[in-house]
Amino acid sequence: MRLADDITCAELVELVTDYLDGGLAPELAERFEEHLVICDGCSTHIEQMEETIRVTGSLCEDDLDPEVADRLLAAFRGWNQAGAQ
Amino acid sequence: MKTYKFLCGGGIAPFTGARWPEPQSGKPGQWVEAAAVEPCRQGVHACALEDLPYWLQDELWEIELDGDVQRVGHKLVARRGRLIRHVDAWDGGTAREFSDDCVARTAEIAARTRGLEGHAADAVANATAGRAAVTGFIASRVAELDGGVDAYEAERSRQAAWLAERLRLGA
Repeated sequence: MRLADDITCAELVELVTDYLDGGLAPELAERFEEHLVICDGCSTHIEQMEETIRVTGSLCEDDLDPEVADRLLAAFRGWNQAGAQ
Repeated sequence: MKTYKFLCGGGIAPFTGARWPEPQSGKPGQWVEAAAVEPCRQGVHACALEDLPYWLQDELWEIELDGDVQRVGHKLVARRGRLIRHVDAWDGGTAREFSDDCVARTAEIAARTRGLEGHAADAVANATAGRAAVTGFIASRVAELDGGVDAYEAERSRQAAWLAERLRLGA
């Protein structure tokens, strides 16, 4: 894609969730996919995200050990606080 | 208008991971249908001859699209499509020839423009690694750095013409 249309790898990472949800505007999604064609690193990142979603998507709340659930919740609370700084 | 689709090895769509039904006994593959046409979300995606350099993958197929065909950027999207024929001329050897052509083009531009020498080396490295799509991109980017946006488009058109001639494809 032309310089003006370039998506950097860092920008692509920020857009991954929207892309996988089908939430990107068509023009942006096309630039996203053009980047994937020429970037092995980002293609691998997408594959890993899709695999993560596939695996974790099969988990139910009841599948989690309560202790693990508590640790995860604590981690997310800590992440949220860190992001607010 | 003839339309084309690049797939990964084994007939796998590069972005969805779906396996495409291949033609059998000289008959087209089964129709692949989408519930709706929403570019880059739903629908059967393909491209025209002039778009080929943007989407290079392992396999190239001629595809028949049916219904309203929309264009978004460098792709086409339709409600349904089916594979017509495998373009046998596009293989590892031809991909390397394409890469070598792009390396030569990059070197030609880099030789006359200060500061682009590194791109020539990048093109060689990617061609050697079998990354035809990246090598084509580098040639286009170098053309743009040398001559602006129009030069980028012109280089992509030159690459499409190279593919059309080498693979004997029609528009």
